[in-house]
Amino acid sequence: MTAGFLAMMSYLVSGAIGFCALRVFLKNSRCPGSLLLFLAPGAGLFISSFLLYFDLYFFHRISRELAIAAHLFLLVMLWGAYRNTKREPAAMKEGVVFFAILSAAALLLLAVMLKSPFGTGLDVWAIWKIKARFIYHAADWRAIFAPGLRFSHPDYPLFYPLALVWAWLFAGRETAAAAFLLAFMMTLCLVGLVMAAAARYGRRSAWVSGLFLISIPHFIGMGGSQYADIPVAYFFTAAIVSMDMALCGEDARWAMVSGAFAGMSGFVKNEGLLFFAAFCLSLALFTERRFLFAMAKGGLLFLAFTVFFKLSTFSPNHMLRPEAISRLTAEEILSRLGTVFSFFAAEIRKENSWAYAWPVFGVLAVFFRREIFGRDKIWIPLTVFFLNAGYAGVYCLTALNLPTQLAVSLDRLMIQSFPVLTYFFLTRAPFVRDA
Amino acid sequence: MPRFRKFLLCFVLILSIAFGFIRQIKIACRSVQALVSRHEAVDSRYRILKDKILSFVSSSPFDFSRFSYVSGIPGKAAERYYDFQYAMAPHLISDNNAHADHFVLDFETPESLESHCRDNSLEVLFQSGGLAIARKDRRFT
Repeated sequence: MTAGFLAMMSYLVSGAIGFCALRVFLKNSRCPGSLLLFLAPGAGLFISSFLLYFDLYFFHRISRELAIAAHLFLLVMLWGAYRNTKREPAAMKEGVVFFAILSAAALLLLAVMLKSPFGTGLDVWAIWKIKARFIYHAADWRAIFAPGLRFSHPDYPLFYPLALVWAWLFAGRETAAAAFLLAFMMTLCLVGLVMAAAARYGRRSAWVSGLFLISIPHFIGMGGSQYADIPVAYFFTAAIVSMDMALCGEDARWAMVSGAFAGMSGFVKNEGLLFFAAFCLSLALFTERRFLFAMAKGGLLFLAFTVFFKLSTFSPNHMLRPEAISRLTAEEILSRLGTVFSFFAAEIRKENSWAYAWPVFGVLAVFFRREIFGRDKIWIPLTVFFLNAGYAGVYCLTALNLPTQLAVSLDRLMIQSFPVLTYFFLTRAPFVRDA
Repeated sequence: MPRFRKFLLCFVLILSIAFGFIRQIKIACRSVQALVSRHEAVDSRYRILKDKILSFVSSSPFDFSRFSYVSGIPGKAAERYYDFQYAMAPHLISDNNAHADHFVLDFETPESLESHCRDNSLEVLFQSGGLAIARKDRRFT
């Protein structure tokens, strides 16, 4: 119980660091309080994993005292700077319905998580938690790259394991509560983030998008499963809503924040690197260059951090092997693309997973295309399109058995951009928006 | 906005939200039911089994660092199973069944052990107190 409480405290410390850091960076800019509140945990947890990674890199194992001292020092510094910011974030005016929806999301999540408090799915253990365990217990963290642990994908980035390790360090011992709290917090923050960002388009947009998102069984199920897909979806959504803030308010600092979140997503899952590329491409095509440059400026530091990790560990990716790619013929690639589409078509028809979310998007895209796909916001669906085209490309080129890969991973990839699509469609839908 | 489009949008939106919530309430009810009726039993059985296997592992004459998989956990509740693997890691963890060659089996009766090994082409190497160590029968691989 005490360990669980301390694990929660560790995430609160990270959230406070994230809140102060964002507020200090965005000083004097127009900033809805609720948006800042839901962006803070992601930013703070990334800073925590950033600090722990450097501890690992230079000392090969993490010192509890050093990690806690570094966090507290950073918090005190940022708090001092925060108190000097001139303008307070705007008060939250989201109302009772907003918090009722968040409470409903919390209840649904708890129902799923109490049944499986340790998480479900082999990857949760075989990839993320086993890495966290080795980092926490092993005399040298590089044990995670031992040949015996090849199945845990050594090339996968370390945000999730380090976030667990941070809670264990704070608690003083390994506790299952850390992963539970992390999954719970990231899922709720993602719902809150979508709603807080949608609230700028009207209260109805906020609560319809929130209700819609939490009504999707697959979304709540993935949140409770403790996989890393909801955390990566959180960073994708944070990048998109921050860029939307930048473009609406003509404020390049929000574009830098957007770039930072996009860059951070690369340290959560490899898909984040693809997202960064897709995001840059769509912004280059449909927005002013200054926003693209500001975004790239904000993202490059975080992206460089991920690239540094990749180069220093030098582990090949199991999905793509050059020798297997070179053997592929054009016919094979086309046939694989057909398989990907057929699995996708089957997936969107699973109403037990997605309810009727995809028909809702279909109706909006077909019957409201003029209102939805205006030039001002076309960069959002385009980013999602490029991202998913990238996933399809990887499926077409993978050396692994394609149907098996699609069966185990397609639904998880689809959930990663689902909150962004929810935000996009339900803030653009005229009926929802005309509140 | 033409009425048809508005109606269609409202219809699919409400249908999706309502269906999603009904589905999730069903899942939540099942979770609560499972928590009340089954969880305690599985939990205590699992705890006893975990202790039993850990002492079995330390007393058996085998080098468990060569082992790659543990099988036969009762209840087959995935989360319990993974937690078990996790507790035993790093010695007893692997990616999937296909790569496993040694197993720790929990069995109710000697007959159930025998039929399980026959069905899965396993050869028993050691058994004690309702647990056995088995490996893939070389004659079948």
